[in-house]
Amino acid sequence: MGVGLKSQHPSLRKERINLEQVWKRILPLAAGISFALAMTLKLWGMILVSNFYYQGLHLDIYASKVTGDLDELNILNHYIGMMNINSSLPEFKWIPYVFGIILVLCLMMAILPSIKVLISGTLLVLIGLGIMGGDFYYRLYQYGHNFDPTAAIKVPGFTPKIIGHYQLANFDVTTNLGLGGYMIILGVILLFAAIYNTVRLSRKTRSRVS
Amino acid sequence: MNKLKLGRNAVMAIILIIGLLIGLVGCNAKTPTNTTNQAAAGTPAAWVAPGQLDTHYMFASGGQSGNLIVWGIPSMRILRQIPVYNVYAPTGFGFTPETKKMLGDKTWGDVHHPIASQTQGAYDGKFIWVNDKANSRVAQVDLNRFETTQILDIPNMVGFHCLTTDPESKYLFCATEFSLPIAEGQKNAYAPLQNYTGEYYGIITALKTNRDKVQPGQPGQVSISYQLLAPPYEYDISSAGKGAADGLVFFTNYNSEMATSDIEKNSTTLPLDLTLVVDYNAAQKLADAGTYDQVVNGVKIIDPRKHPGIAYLLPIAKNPHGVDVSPDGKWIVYSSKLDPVVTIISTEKLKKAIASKNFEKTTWGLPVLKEADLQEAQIQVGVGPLHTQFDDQGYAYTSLFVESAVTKWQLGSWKVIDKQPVNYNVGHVAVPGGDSMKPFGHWLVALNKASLKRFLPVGPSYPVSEQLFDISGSSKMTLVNETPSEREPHYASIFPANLIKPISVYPKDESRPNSIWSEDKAKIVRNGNQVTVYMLTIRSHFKPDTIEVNQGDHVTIYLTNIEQQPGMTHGIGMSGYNINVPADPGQTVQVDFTADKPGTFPFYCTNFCSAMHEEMAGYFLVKPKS
Repeated sequence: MGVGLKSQHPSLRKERINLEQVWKRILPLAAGISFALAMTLKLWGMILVSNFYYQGLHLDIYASKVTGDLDELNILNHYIGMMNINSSLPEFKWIPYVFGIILVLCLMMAILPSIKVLISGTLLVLIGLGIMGGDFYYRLYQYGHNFDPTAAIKVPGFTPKIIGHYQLANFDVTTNLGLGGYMIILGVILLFAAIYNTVRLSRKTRSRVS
Repeated sequence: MNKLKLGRNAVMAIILIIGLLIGLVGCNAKTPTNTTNQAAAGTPAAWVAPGQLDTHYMFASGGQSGNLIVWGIPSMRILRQIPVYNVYAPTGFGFTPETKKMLGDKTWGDVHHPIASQTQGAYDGKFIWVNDKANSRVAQVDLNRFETTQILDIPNMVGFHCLTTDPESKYLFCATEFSLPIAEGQKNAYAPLQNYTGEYYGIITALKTNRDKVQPGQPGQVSISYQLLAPPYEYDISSAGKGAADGLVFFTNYNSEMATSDIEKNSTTLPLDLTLVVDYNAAQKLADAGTYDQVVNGVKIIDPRKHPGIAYLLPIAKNPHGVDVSPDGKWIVYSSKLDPVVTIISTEKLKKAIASKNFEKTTWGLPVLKEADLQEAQIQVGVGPLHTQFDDQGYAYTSLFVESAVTKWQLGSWKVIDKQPVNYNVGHVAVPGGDSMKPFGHWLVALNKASLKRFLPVGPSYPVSEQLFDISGSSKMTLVNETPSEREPHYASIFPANLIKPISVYPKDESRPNSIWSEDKAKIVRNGNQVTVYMLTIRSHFKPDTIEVNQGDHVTIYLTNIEQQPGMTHGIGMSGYNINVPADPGQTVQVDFTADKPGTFPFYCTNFCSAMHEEMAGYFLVKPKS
């Protein structure tokens, strides 16, 4: 790479550096777009298939709602005393705000793409995502353990896998991230790429100065 | 003509012999019955593997069961019984106030002629209309819900055999089987039989379907438009014209002799019977203009003798039974019960004769057409022809009752192509769309009146049979399936499956009057001695599940099944009060009764809904009067 650069015309090299300067802003911006898409797309989903429910019962989690065959799932779940699954959980109110903060952070990083801003911004984004992820896992645990003691059928507690395939009573369960979930991962990768790019660029600039 | 007469004598002899043979078979159980019949039933053409769907629906009359029976073709599996004229607990028909009102005081109906609603002459899969021959009623069956949504009593008629509709299904037509006197305020009016020719009338009824005003699932709005007086013959089949014959409706009848006793003998003396042809547009125009001759029991009655241009008489060979119009309307096919021929009348010649008033004479005040001038062909189809249906390849299929066979013949060439035996005594045949302008062909079901030894013996009351033929081949018809059936499967309409699009659950409609959709809305409201219960069901409980009233209270339960899972039907069955009302997912049903018996009455879910179905029960308590 270095050898290649040396052989290039100085004006070309300048252009390349300018391009890299642009990348510094594009990457955090792209991360922001990824998070924005994640905010509207399905984050996580579950499909339960049985002989009777041959078309599968779907449960889809979004940032602000849960959709799918909720009526049927709740009817089935009430036999084991599971809490009602619906969009009235407080998470669906505050998680969009966390997403909002993450978007603002990404925008800030795009405007001021210094190493400091990028690293601290990314850290804050990761904290936000960690809060959401932790809460999600907590809810999965809670729904799989806090059963109404008066329920007709007693089952041992369980926590669904985030991504996987397993058997739950007569159901064949498949869980997976939705497109939105993958957008979050992409956003994080883009942020790391932005940090990497900026660190590399500053080293280069430094070596040119010295 | 002489030659023909000789032929008829010979045929009468054949009828006699075959009649004797049938008698022998009936008397002597040891007589082999399958000697002339195919053993090919159950070939792969009719095989529908488990989990696979049939390609066609057949809506067949369930005869005196009062039901319309829905079959899958080609498997011949019964998919559904739709109650029309009788109480049917599995769907709660006759247990809810509206179905009780529809049925009235009758406990049976003779379901005869289910006909399919049409648009531009093709089956549209929206409605079935079906008559009750015994009690002169017409019902509308909604194919969006597979349920009866209207039963209409037709005054001035006692018994009618058949129903027919025009290509746009704006109208239905039917004709009385038993001519009777008509009188205000009476269904079965009196007049001495000596006065038969003067005081007895055949009645033709034209009904308006008003189908455009009816949303899916809403009550039918079929209404009587007018009635026509007709000669006091006994009317059989009615068949509305289409295509070239649009605007005409054809009736067959026997007993032009107007015999009133020993009818079997006395109604067969004439070689030709006078069948009726009606220009229904002309008649409707009069009715719409408010021109009619009398009003009896609320129905405008037009006497066609006073209004030329409405009705004509067409002589047809001996006791004609079926009349069927070819898909393009060019040919009217009459089947003569006691003559081994079908007579083809040319619509073009018929219209010309009417226009030029080329009449032979006047009988009963109506012009009689010259049959010989209108006849296109007579086809020797076999003994005892009854009914004809058509396929999409230009072939016609005529049932032969006496001969127990179906004859395939070609329109235009008038050649007989094939004849296959059936088991036994076939009445109607049904081809998908076979009575419309757009037949679909491929299958033919013979609706037989006897099964003899085709099925395991079940005692002296035999089932009848329905047999499926594959008619997709160019010449030979092949028997591919058969099934026993309720007696009797009179007529059937067969649809390609994609034409029928029923709902799978009742949609959740929170604005529906008296429905509740959440447990906190469940309540019992007392207003004087009227107790109204707003109840819901969901796996696996009723809410409320305890109802306590005082003896003598009138109780109304509005039960909403708040489920949306297809097939998750619940029901409320209560011992001691003769109550069973199922509620399909999303449906609100009503139960109405007076709590006149004191005591404790458990009620339970009558549809096995879940593992905790048995636990789905409650108590209805009636406090005794002190």
